[in-house]
Amino acid sequence: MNVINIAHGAFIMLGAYLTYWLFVGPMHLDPFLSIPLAMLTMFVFAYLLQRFVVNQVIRAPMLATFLLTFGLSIMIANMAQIFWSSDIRSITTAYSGTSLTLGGLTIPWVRLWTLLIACALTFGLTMFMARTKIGRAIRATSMDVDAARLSGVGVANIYALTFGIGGALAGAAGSLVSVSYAITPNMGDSFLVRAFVVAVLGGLGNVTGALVGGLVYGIIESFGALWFGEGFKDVVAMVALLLVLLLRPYGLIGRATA
Amino acid sequence: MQRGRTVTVVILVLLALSALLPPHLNGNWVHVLTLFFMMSCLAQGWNLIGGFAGYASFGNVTFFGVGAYACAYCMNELHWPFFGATACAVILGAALAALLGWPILRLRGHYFAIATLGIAIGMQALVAEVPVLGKGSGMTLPINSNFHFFYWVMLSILIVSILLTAYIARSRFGYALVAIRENEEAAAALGINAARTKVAAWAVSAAITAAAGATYAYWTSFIDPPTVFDLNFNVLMIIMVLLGGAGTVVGPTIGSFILSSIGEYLGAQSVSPWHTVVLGAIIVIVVIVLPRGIMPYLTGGLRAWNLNALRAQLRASRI
Amino acid sequence: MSAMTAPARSPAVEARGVVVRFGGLVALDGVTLSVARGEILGLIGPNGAGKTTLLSVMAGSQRPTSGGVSVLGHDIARVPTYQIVKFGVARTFQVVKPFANLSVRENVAVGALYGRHGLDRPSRAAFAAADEVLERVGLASEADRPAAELTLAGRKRLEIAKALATDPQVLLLDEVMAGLTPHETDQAMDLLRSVNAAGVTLIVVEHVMKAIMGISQRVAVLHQGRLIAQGPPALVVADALVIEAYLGARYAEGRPRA
Repeated sequence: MNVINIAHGAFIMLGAYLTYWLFVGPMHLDPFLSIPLAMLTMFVFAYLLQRFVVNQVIRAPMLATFLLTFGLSIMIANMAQIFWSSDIRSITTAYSGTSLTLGGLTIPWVRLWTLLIACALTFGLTMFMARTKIGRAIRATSMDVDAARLSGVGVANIYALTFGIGGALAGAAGSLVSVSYAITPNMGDSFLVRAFVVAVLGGLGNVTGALVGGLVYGIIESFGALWFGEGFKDVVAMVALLLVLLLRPYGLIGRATA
Repeated sequence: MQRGRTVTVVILVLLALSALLPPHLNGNWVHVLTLFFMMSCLAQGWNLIGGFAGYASFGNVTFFGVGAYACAYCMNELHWPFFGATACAVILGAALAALLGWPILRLRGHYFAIATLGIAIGMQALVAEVPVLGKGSGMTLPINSNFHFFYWVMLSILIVSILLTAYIARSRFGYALVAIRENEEAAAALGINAARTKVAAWAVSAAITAAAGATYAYWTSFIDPPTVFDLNFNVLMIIMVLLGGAGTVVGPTIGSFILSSIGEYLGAQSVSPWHTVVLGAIIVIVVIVLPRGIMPYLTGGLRAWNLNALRAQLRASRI
Repeated sequence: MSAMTAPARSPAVEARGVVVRFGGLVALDGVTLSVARGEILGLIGPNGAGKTTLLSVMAGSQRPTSGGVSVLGHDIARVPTYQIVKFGVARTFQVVKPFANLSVRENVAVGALYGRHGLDRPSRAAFAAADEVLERVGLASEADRPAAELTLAGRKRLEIAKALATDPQVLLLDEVMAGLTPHETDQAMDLLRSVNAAGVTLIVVEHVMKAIMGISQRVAVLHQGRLIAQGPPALVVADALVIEAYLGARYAEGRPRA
């Protein structure tokens, strides 16, 4: 949709905090079980935010959306800091330390489940975009807003919906990372940059590409750390990003549109 | 165009007069104004590539950091005087922009933005690994407590950058940049070598930014990667340019002034979360309500404060 | 150059076996065409015939998959667009591309500042040249208005003015008459005739038959990427192949069915 959402990191953070509060609250809800709840809450939040705020600059140059969402992200992150303090929180469940031993590999169960759920969500999203009427409407709007509108698509709603879906996925991501990473108001920042890199690696607008991009990026980062040391892993990742942008801007598995 | 020139002259006169201020100000105000001059320099620099050429760089802070480190290295390891070190910083910054610009400026819109973001992050990580640059712990520079000196240096760099922008705005080169921004394909079809023009603009932008970075390094006597490659600097630069008026001569400085004033009013000395929330809200409001920044209102006079025009403009940018 | 024979002047534009392929789609299938200096060539053909592609190849913005193009004796195989302008070739775009935030005068001045002789003269001379072009084109009264405020007819004229400001020897015009009223079309035709009278070769891509028939000295017809006819306008229009291309075989037989 050509809407760059800098607040995406903040959405992830909100998802993580939601999961945290549900976990330590009276319900003691398992983080993985709170995923649907996080998704729903963030969907509504993102939808409303887009419909009434981000929508104001939809037709303005991309820079406007960039900055607007940046402004929103620092508002959200700092309000989180005000209400929840910057104390580092974490979620440790009964199974947090357990792993699956397969051959010579030790895979933590938490990471494995995260991967499986990520795959499932990607699959679900791809099906949604390809098979449902709304999915088609989204794709149509992203290709040509005016044509879509003339075809009867309620474009304002579609933009908000798409943003909402993005928010829902961020919420899910937040739940998933809450078990593996520290939960702080600014946790979104590192995820945000990685999200952009991954999206570009996979090809902007390419849903499965994002999953592939994520895996590829994860591998690059890990091997970068292994071969060049922990400090250089960011350098390696950025070099990879630049190479992709210059050589295959449509993503590693994408195809150049004429 | 005429009114724009008046605003430029007024700003330049005010800046020139402010050179007389330091003896009458307490240390805190000298500090605040020096910082304001510095941010204005960064904004003016960004304006050339982002405002005139229309290429929104999210990596201009890279040149700030490079300038800072160049200065630190030249002064510390090579024992060069400050002005020599700054010249080195400027040349290095421009050269880096030229080198990176050739491939990177071929990218459009989003991709360019993300690429420059990547450069900033990558450069920070890279510098943090270089032993001679102090790795992650940073570098110290010789201490100079003559804070008036830094006030005047930053002010001079700012005035130079404004004069440079003014010259460019009315030159052939300036028209080429604006043509590229408005429609790059049409610009090429009229004989403009877009690649070379864009790279030149980024090099000048980087030179100004690096000069500010070098001065910053000597001023604060200590730099480390997270400080001088801080992406928040970049975002602030952009907000200031947008607030004042992208593609205008002194818009960036005006935007910087407004934002710095608000920061001061909110008590920017201690950056509390509430202050940042308000800053975020200001950003949001500015982006929605002032897409061309405040400049049209300064040059258009009272005519521009037209509620209907504002409403029409809002309607045009939403769905 | 031999002193015995008159030096053969190279044609204004010469395409030799130009093939342009976009993935699986063949836009131009071996087009060979020669345009003499000072000529007005009309280029017609049904939609999708490849007219704009051929024009882009001549302007240097589209690289042929195979085949060669030379303008005014220069082979433009690997020459970038801005360089070709210096040779003396200018073009207009089908979807007009004004510099919206500049005034009309400034729009044209860009052409004068960077065109064929742009860098040889000071800016002031370029602006004077721009004013002259505005006079010729009939936009002098709009000189100080932002280009965004012009009507469609005005923008089309601005498009021509910008191209003229580069002082071309060959002008490639892409559907400049589209969307004009009959009166505006007449005015445009007069303008083009006067431009040609000053020595500029014109290659005009058009759908508006009245314009093509009215100003072309020669007409070439493209159909599905191939040149199917060329010659004097009256003959070409009556050519059976041409009629078949536009209207279908039925009409080529001269027996229209109900």
